Amino acid sequence: MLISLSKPGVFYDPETKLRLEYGEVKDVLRIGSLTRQVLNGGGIVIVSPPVTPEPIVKPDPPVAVTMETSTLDLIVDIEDPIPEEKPKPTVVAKKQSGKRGRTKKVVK
Amino acid sequence: MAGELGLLNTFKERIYHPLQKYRGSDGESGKEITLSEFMATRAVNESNQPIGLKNGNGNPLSLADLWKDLGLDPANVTLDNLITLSDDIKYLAPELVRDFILQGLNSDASYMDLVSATVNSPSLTVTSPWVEFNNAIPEDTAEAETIAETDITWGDKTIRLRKKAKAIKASDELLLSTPIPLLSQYLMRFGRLLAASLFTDGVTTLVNGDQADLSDNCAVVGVTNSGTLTFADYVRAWIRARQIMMNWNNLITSEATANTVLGLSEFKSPQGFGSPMVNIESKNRVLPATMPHLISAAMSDGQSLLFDKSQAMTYLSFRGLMVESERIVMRQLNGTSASTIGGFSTTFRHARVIVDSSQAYSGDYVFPSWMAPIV
Repeated sequence: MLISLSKPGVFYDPETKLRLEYGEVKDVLRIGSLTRQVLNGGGIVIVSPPVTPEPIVKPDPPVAVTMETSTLDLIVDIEDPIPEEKPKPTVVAKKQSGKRGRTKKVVK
Repeated sequence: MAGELGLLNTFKERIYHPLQKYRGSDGESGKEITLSEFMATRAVNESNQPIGLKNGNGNPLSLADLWKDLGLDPANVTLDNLITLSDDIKYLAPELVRDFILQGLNSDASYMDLVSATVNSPSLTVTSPWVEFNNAIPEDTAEAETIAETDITWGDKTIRLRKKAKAIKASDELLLSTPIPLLSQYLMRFGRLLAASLFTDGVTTLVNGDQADLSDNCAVVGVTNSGTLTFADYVRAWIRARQIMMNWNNLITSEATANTVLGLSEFKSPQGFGSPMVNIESKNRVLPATMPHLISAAMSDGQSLLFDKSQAMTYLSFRGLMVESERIVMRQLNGTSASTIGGFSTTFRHARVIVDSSQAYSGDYVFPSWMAPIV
C-alpha cells in the first residue's frame, strides 16, 4: 500500500519505525497502531498506485469462409478416419460330441 | 541501634499507607515520590504529624537508617527474606523494587525532560482545551475610547491515554541467592527501559503532535545550503522563536545528527581570541547560553527538533508508576510488573520546530504563516 502525508511536516511511528516526510510516498506492508490512527484521522492518505491504462486490443474480425476457399484442401488435409473394423464373427468351435470307442461297421 | 524508631511494627501505619495515599490511585490525584524521600519529608512521626522521620542524630531518615532500625544488613538480605518476614517488613519488599525501578526511570533522559508539567487525569480519555489569541497585542487607545477586544479561537481536542507495562518473573533461586544491592542494578535497568519507552513516546508526540489528522504536527524548516547544517541555521530559528515569544532552547536529534551538531565549532570550541569589538546584548537574548541536548531514535537523521520545554507539552497521568507482585507457587516464581498509564498532550504548536538539513530554506520549508512574528 502506498501512503503519503496529507499535510506538510514529518511523521514517525515508533512501533514500525516508519518515517514519512511531506511529499514522500512510501510502500508499507505492516501498519503500526499509530499509523493506523493517523490513517483513520486523515493525516496520512493512501496514494493509489498510478494505473496506466493498457491499450485496448481489438480482436481480429472473423474470417469469412467462402466457397472459393479451398475447403477441399482442408478436407484433404484431414486425415482419413480410421475405418471402423467390423467385428469379426467369432468362431465358436463346435465340440463334436463324438463318443470315443468302438464303431460298428455295417456291411451290406 | 535496632528498634530505636519502632518501625518493625509501625512501618505500615506510619510509612506504607500514608505513602500510598500520597501517591494517589487510578484517576485520583497524587504525586510521585520515592520511599526514601517520603520517609524523610512526609512520613508520620512520633507526634503523629506527617512531617517526616528523623534518625538518632536528628537528621532526616534515610534508607540506611531504616535498615539499621530493622536490624538488617541489606548486603546479606535477599528479596525473598523480606517477603517471607513477618510483621510489617513484608511491605518493604515491593517498595524497594519500586524504588529501584524509579531510580532507573529517573537516571537518564526521561519524558520529564520534555514536558512542562505532569497533570493528573481522572479518565483514560482526556478532553483538553486549546486557545488561540488572534490579535492579542494591546493597541493604542484614546481617552474614553472603547477598548478593542481580542479574538479568541478555542476548541477542544481528545487525547487517549495508553498503558505502558512490562512484567518480570524471578525464580526463587534468583531471589534467594541474590543480595538486594546486586538485584537493584537489574531492577534499575528495568526502570531505564520503561523510561526509554516513555521518552520515545514523548518525542514522537512532539514530532507528530497529538492529533490523528496531523493538524498539530511540528513545522519543518530547511537550511541555507541543503545538505549542510551550520550554526547559522539554528540562529535563524532562535531569532524567529524570540519574535513569536518562544524560547526554543532545547534540542533533540538522532545519533548521527548529534555527531554533526557536536562537531560544529560553535558548540565545540571557544570562538576566536579575545572578544569581539562590540558585545551585542540583545535584550531578548537570541542565543541561549546553554542548551539541553537530548538524543532520540525517533528523530530522522539530519533533523534537529528545537522546542520550548515550558510551553510545548504536558504529561497527562492516569496512573503513576505501579509495581505489583504475585507468587506462582507451583513454579516457585515471583512475578513483578511495572506499569504506568498516561499520555502526552501538546500545548502550543509554535513551541517547537524541526530544522531539516536535507531541505533548502524555501518553498514548503520556511516558517509557516502561523509562526509570523508578533514583536
